[in-house]
Order: sequence, then structure tokens, then C-alpha cells
Amino acid sequence: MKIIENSYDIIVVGAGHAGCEAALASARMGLHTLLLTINIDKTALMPCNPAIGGLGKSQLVRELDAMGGQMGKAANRSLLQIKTLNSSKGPAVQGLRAQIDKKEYEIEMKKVIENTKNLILKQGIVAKVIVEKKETRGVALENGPVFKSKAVIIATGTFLRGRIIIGDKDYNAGRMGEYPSMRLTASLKDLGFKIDRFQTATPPRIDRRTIDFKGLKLQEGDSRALSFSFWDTEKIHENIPCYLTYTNKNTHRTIEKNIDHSPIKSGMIDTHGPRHCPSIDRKVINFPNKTRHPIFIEPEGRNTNETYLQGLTTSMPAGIQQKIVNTVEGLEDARIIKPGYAVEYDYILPDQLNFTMESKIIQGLYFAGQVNGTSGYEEAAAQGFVAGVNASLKINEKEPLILTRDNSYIGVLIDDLLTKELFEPYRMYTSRAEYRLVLRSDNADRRLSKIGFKTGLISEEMYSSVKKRKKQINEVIRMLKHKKINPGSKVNKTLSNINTNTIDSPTTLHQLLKRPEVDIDALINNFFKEGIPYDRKVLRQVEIEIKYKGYINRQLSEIKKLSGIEKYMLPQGFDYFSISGLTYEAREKLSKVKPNTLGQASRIAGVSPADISVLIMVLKQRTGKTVWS
Amino acid sequence: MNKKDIYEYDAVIIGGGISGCEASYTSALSGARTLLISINTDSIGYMAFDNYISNEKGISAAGINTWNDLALNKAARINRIDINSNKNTKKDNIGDRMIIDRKRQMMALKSIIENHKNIDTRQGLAVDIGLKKNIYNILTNDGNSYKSKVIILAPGTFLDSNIFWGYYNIKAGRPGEISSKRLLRNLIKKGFKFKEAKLYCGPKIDGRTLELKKYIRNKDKHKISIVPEGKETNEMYVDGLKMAGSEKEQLEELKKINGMENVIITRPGYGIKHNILSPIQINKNLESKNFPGLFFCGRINGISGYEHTAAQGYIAGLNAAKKIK
Repeated sequence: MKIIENSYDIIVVGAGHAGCEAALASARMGLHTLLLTINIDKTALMPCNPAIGGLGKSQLVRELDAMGGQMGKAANRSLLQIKTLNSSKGPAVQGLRAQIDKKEYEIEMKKVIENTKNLILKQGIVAKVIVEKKETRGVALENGPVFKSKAVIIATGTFLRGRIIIGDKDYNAGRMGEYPSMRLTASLKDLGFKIDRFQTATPPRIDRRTIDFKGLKLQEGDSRALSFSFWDTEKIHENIPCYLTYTNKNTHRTIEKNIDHSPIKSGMIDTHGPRHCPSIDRKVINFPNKTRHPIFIEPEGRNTNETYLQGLTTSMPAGIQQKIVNTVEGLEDARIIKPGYAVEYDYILPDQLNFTMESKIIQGLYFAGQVNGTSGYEEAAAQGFVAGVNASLKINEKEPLILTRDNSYIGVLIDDLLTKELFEPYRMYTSRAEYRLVLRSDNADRRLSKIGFKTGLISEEMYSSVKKRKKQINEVIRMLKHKKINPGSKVNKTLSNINTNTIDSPTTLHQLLKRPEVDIDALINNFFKEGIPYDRKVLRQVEIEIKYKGYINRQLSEIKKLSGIEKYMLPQGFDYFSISGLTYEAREKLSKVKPNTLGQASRIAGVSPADISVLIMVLKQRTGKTVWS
Repeated sequence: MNKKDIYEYDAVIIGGGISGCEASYTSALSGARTLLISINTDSIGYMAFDNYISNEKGISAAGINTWNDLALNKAARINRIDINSNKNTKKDNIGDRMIIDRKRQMMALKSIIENHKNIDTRQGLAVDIGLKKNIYNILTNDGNSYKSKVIILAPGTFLDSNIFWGYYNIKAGRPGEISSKRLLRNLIKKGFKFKEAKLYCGPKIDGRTLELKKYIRNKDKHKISIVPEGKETNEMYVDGLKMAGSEKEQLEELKKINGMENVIITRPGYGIKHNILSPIQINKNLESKNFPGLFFCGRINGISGYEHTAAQGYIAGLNAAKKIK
């Protein structure tokens, strides 16, 4: 392979989860890509919890996977256990979660990156983004080399002027033991970017040998065949257990007694941290009436005794952390190997970005991941992918990939980031998506693989398999609509056996499946004696489509109604202050956020539906474009 | 079993490199309750320079008759890359060295260390040591302190060190990793004398950019080896060129070599300026002359090579354990 060593199409800065997806997407789309990292040995490192997926996050990974991202596959190949969350609840709030062997994940991801054509992984600290006439030209490393490129994707995670805090001690570091990037922030500020600081923290890791597992609740994965990726075969995975324990009054008393040492109280940290993932110090302050908080004990990998304590995040002095840990049932003799710590870092205010993750002020400069104020591996990976794809599309002079609230959680994530003011690191939940019955973890391939195919990240063969599945789903639905059963003692006995009411008039299987207590396997087993030639994946989709049809249709019609304003692109540089019909607050907010679409404008706090009506009218007058075309 | 005190040990080892691992393992084998402190426990067992053990050096280690017990050797054997089955490597470039899968070796060695019943590992940056009534006190930057009968210092290249190539330099114990300044300052206060030393680490390259059909050899006919970093990576280590010039200079130099005309450097070679002890201050058993019970092993004594540092770790570990009894 031949690459001119100093000139690339795209340079990605940072090889965490955002950077890896960005670089893979752009290289796979045929662009010469350079992925830069401070330390190659830390490529795809998981610095916090040893897990991928979860509610809301699972959807992000599956969507990424459907479009040709890598995270789902890498998770599949390095997991310790996998399970379906909320399996007893509706499909909209179900999701996959996998415990991951961290080192195996790193090895797997690095291997894929290193074997991708057009992609070079290289060690170097970026000091400066080179820009001429508001267009990105490349980067300069701290040690001198300059690499030219048409686009740069910044995916620096917590490394921009990172500062680690434990108790009353602090020092400059991007992660424990690793030095940060101290110069890039200044370069971004010079370019005109607004920068603020956030904070996040990680719990202590303890020595597995010192845990008393007796009496702790076992947390196992599913024993049925699963796959995080749509493109790998479902199989029964290894099932290395986690355990559940709880804090207690004694824990809370210990924290209260030492609260003055907590950096969030002592003034060592005055930036905002993630409210969704509060430190145990914060939980005890905010919920004085709660008598216990859950702690999940999770292995960090097969090859190490280091064990993660989900729910016990703290950056108290190490000695106090040890005392807190020892108050918990099962952890009375537990010994900390790595104390928990907090890290404070620079992020750019994400309202400076477009839906493509490209910055509004500098052409060809993209941002993805934690540097945009998000938290979580999955959120980072999703943004990295979108940035990588769009940087590539732009260079190839193709239409951008804009994901929307009605087609994906990734669309919800980006829209929220661009529109809502961030008070804390952003994390995905199912509650953030208004169309969550349509945007499911299980149907992401049907929703998005077309995008992956169009961009070339999903092969024709893969895409055909999805189309085939779609067709099969419709076939089975049709079949169930046609298959009628007549009331009779034999049929009614069967129905009683599967715990549902008997029938007194001819009924289709389609109608029967609408009953909440009836599952598709029971129908197939009892009424198709020879079985049917469709696999489990197809049948499960049929079941969801039929059972939730009413709700799904309602959401779909809403989407259709709103799609006009969602797709209506607003002219950039529009003078909102010149529109006298808008409230002053709306003018201010619109000028500040500079929304890309009318839909985005409608979600800005302070912009009312009345303001949107005014805007639609004025736009029609000035541009001649109507919303409902 | 009584509840163990997690702040009190027989022996504390500072540094989790090859020497520190060996010292910990040997001390633990001798029955001493041992604590290994490392700035980042993810790096325990990391081989920072080349990734093979050559036979000449091996003999020096074998001389002390413990070769088979060395944890390094155990981990290394498991993770040896079979040269003959690796098509990317020409046998005659490697000689009869044992090539190690860097990442897998690190994981295996860390696992051996972690699972020994007498060893505890701990993440922390040691900043000071004190001595009171024959008991040492080790302070870490997270506010903890540990008591111990003996200390083995195995900080490798991490004492107030800088890495450099070309005109660039940055404070670092290894690329990407912070160094330890306060511990050095406090050792100097106690009267220890240090001197500045340098080591060089070769560049790493993207193995895909080599043309293997051509015989890889540089024009001056210095012996250089291109060594695979592991079974699961394309990175290769270039050994035999002392490289700390700018990245541009390094690239130009490498391109002169047949088969490397299109080479891409993944990590530039670098020099590391660090502090080593003037060895006159220690006895043959690696114990300090002025501070009984304080041992030094590995790179801090000015030696290099994994076998040598491991062997010193063994000697320090054994003598430290003897001291405890």
C-alpha cells in the first residue's frame, strides 16, 4: 500500500471510541486517513465501566452496527456475558448489554484498525489545527511534523487540559498515569471556538480475591443465543457473572462524616459532572432519605483480578475510599487496587456544530465524542461514525448524512446536542426519544442498513439479507392474517393450554397474536405442525409489529406529519432579529443556536409554536420555499 | 486467617516493570507479604524497549540458576512468537532470540503477579519514603501511606525523566505516561546521589509498509532487526538503529534500507533522559549502604536489558526477603 506520508484526506485526533469509529468509517469509504493518538498502546481503551450497551445506549450501538460501524462487532468478540435488558417489558425499552473484557476489546479494535486499508494509526500529540481562510488544511504535532488534510476530526475525549483529582490532590493527566494535551485548546480558541469545562469520575477497582461473594446476588448473562452485531451469527456466549450488593446506613454515615474531603464539597471541583451517573458522595447528599444504593460488581477482564464497582464512583482521598468500600456487604475485606478519581477537561459547546458534526465556523473541522460534552462509549462512537462518514461524503462532494429524531437515536443525540443547553455531560436514555416504539434496538438494521449500503460501509450481500428479512416479515404477517382457526373443542383446548381465552367465532392467528399473553412460538408450534421456514429473528419482528401495531402506526403518522418541518433546512446567516413577529427571546435564542432545520428550531427552549408559525410565513415570503412541499 | 492489614507489608516494591515484577515475585515466593506499587496498574509487566530476549543475555541470567523460576520467563514462554510460523519475519534477521508478544506478555505477567497469594498490587505514584524505628513508610500521591520492613526501588526510567526526539522533549516516563519527580527530589534530600543517563528506544513501523521480498538491511550493513510486536498487531519494532532525531530524519534514515522505501512510522524512536543511582551507594546484595532494608534494582542501577533487570529484581527480592526473616 502506498500513502504519501505527509498528506491525507482526513486526520482523526484521538483513538478512543469516537476516534476509532471516525477513522474506520472514513478509511472504509476510500479516503486516506490518519488516526493520531498520544499513546498507541491505549487505542480503544475503556477507561470507566467494563460494559457496552444498556438502555438507550444499546440502540446507539445497534444503529451504528446497522450502518457499518465497528463497536457492536468488537463487543461481540470480547464480551464476558451478554443479556437483554427489560426482557419482560415492551420492545421499545429493551436493549442489549454486554460485559466486556477491556484488554481483549482493545486488542480486537486495534487489530481491525491496523488491518484496514487506507488507514494509518500513528502516535503523536496534536498542538494545532491548521486553517486557512476558514478552511481546514491539516494539523501540526507538538514535535514538529505537519500533516496536511482536507478534514480534521477532533475526538480528544478527556485529554484537553485534563486534570485528575483525588481528594485534595490534583495533577495534569488525561487519564490516570497518562499525560494530557495541553496545547490544542489554545489553537481551538484562536479559531474562535467557545470552550467550557466538564468533569467526570470513575469508581475504585478492587482485588477480586478480597471479595466475599457469599450472600451477594448473582448477575448472569442470558443463556440463549444472542449477538450484539446484526452481522455475526447469534450464539450462546460465555457467561462470566457479575454480582449485586448495596450500600447501607454505615456507608452513608462514613461518607457524611468525611464529606468535607469530597472534592465536590471542598472546592477542588467546581465544574459540572454527570447527574445521571453521580458520585456516591453526591447521591448521599442529594438523597438523604434513601437507605441504600445498588452496587454492581463487574470483572474488568479474564486476565486480571481488578474488579469494577458500578455505583460507587468517588474521588474522595484514597484512604476514605477504602473505608467506604469496606462498609458494604461482601466488601468488608475488599482491598482497593486503583482508587477512584475525577477528571476535569475542556469541551467545546456543541451548538457550534452542524448535524454533520462539522463546525459552523471552520470548513472541514469536525468534533466527535466526549469533547462535545457527552459521556459514554456508545455516544462517543455514534458521533465519531457520523463525523467520519460526513467528512468523507463532503470530500467526495456527495450529499451529507443527516440523521434525524424520527429515524434514529443517533439523530436524537445529535439534535439534542445542537439544540439543548448542556448543564452536564450528555447521556442517552430511551426517554429522550419521542418515537421509541419505532426506533428499537431490534429493528435498527431495517431502519438504517440502507444508509450503510449507500455509503459503501455495508456490502450488497449484507444489505440483501436485511431486505430478505423485511420481505419475510411481511410474508409471515400475511400468512397469519390468512390463517383462520375455527372454534371447536380441540382448538379451544389448545388455547387453554397456552393460557389464553377460548374463541367462539372464526379467528385469525393475527388476531390471536394481538393478545398480550400469546406469543408467536406458541402459535407456530400449535397451528403449524410442520413448522415454518423462518428463523427466530424474523418471527420476533413479526410478533412486535403485530402486537404494537396501533402504537407504532400512531408514531409513524406523527413522524409523517412533522417530517416537513424536520427536513426544512434553514438558511445559515439568517437575520432573526429582523423578524418583528418573533418574541425577543426567540430572536435571541435562534441567533445564538443558528438551527439547521425548522424542526431543530422548534425544540429550542424559548422558541414557541407561535414563533415557528411566524418563521414559516416569513421564510415562505423571503425564500419562496414552503414547508409542506 | 486474621484480617490482613492492607497498609502494612513485609516488602514494598515501587515500580511494576520487568525488574519490579521479578522482585515482587521472588520476595513473595520467599514468603514475604509483598506490595507492588505502580503509577498505572495497566502497565504492570510492560516491556518498554525491544521485545525479545537474546541468548547471550539469557546466559547471564541463567548463571544464577533461577531462569526457570523467573516470572518473566514464564510469561515470555507462553507468549513467544514462533518465528518459523510467522511469515512476516525472516529467520536470519532474528537469530535465535525469543521474540515476545508484547501485549500478551504484559497481560500474562500481570496475571502471574496478581494471583500470587503473597502479592498485592496497587495503583499509586510513590512520592516519598521515610524511616522510623527500622520501619519504612511509603507515601503515595493519593494520600495513602504504607508501612514496610523493606523497600525495593525499581522505578526504571521514571525518575524525573524526559523523552526526546529531534528538538522536541516532554516530561514522560515512557511515551504517553507521566514521570515521577517528587520521589527523586526526596531521595536526593536523604543524601542519595544520582546522575543523568540516557537510553534509546527504536521506532515502530506499520508492517504493511514493508516490502518483504527485498532483503531488509541498511546500506552501512549494521545489523538491524525488524521484529513483530505481537501476533495480533501489524506494528513492528526496528532494532539496531539508535534513533532520536526528528521524525523526518528518522523516516529518511529508514527509507535508505532496502524494502523500507515506503515505510510509515507508527511511533518515532526516542531517547529518554532519566536519573540513575551512582552504584557506589549500594552493596553487592543491592541494598543501600546508608539505609539498611532499602534495595535498588533494575535500570535505576544503570543496567539495561530485561534479563539483567529481571536478574537484579531476583537478587533484590531474595535479599530483601532474607532481611525480613
